[in-house]
Amino acid sequence: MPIKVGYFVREATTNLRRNKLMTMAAILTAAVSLLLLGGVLTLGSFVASITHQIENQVEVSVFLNDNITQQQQDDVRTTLKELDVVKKVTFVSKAQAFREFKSLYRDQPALYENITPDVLPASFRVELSDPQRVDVIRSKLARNPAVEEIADQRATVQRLVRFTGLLRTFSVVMILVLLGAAVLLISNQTQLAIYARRREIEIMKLVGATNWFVRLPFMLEGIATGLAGAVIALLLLGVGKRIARSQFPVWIPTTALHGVAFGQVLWLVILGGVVGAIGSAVAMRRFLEA
Amino acid sequence: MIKTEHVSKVYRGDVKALVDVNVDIAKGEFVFLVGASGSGKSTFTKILTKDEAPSEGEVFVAGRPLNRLPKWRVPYLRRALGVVFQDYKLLENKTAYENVSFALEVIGHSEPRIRPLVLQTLELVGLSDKLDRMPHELSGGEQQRVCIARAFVNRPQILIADEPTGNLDPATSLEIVRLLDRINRTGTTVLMTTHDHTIVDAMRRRVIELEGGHVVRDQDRGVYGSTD
Repeated sequence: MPIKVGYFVREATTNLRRNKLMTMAAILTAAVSLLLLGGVLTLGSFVASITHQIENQVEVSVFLNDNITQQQQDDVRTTLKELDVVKKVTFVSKAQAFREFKSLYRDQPALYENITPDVLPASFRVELSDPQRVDVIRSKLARNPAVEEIADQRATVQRLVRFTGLLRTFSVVMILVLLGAAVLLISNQTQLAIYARRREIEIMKLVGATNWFVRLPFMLEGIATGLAGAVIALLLLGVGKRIARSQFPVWIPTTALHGVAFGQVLWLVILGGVVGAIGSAVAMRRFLEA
Repeated sequence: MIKTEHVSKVYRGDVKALVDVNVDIAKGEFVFLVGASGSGKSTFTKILTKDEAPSEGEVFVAGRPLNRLPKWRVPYLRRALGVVFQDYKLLENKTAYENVSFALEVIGHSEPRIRPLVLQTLELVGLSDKLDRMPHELSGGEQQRVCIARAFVNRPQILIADEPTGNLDPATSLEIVRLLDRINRTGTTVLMTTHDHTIVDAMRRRVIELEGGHVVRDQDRGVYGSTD
């Protein structure tokens, strides 16, 4: 059977024009839900890049007990240097620590005026070749009597990751609700289109048009609605990223905010189409049964 | 061409629309299906087009066993059938020509094939000069001719006309039946339901009479009323 592209396109666009308001509501709902999805995807890659940066900057501090011998201190240094994951070891004396502390809090003299260099512990600052491998240092040195504490910044990173995870879960729920609404609106739109064309459909079935021939125009209409939503969402996402990019200080990596990634385009377009297809399929199941 | 074996149809609430109907209609026959309203005529035609399934019994239409016909094959059954209605069921926003071409368009025929078939069929039904009229610009008889053209344009093996003259005056009714007769002469099997005495009596064709869902008469060259 020859595929009559012209026929299907004509039928689908006629219906879209016939129910302008309904179609706009459906398109906008699809657009908002897909925009939110685009936002979540962007947030994901943005946080990933920040996390990556923070993690790469992670230094591990191995704080030493007071009153240890030079021998014990050298042992710790040797142990650290023998580890594969350790890139560089720097000794920070009590005096140096105090100087850093003072410069870090120079705005708040109250914090350092009452302490002496004696209070702050000496430490080894360790740079890792793989920031994820802090555990290696812990397992080697946690029981060493010369070591008071091993500190790294992973806790900070983990808090950030946990927070964005929460945000993502919330957004996914919102997205699902909105996508559901988009499906219902598109379904309603299809239903109106079916109603408007019930006589034609009756005749089509009477003279032996196949099911897919009857359904395809409605299907295309639903898919076109979903895709229109995706296009609007992508445009808004692009604008949103441009605005967001200017809000961040230079040291934060904003590559995730440059343009709209191909993967995101793919996601939004596919999901838009799928939402449209499901929406019209729901209506057809209910109103087009043979 | 049409064969039913012990066909019964019971609607919900124990309404018996058809009871043990056995009918055998050969290729090329012209058959009147007569009976009062509620006698089961409509149910019978709906079963033939597979709009409804019988509660019991076997049905064969155009060589197809309908009980075992998968859903996706139903459109192909309908292409072997042409159906004409009392209320024409024309599309009001399409011309006479478009109403007929629509039937070919939606079963996937290409434009160059459609045009000659439509023109030829509209000429057969006598509407060559009214191709571009909208249905509301046509008389009842003319609308029924368009409906017949639409049913026949795909050259079906069977034409089912359900009360085609129900809304027409006697003279126009006779013209319509003559048209169906002409179509029958091309080899198409015609089954027409009616309760119009004059027509049945004038045509003298096979008559199958239903009463309360039972076949009470099946007579070659019959008339409407019982002969006794």
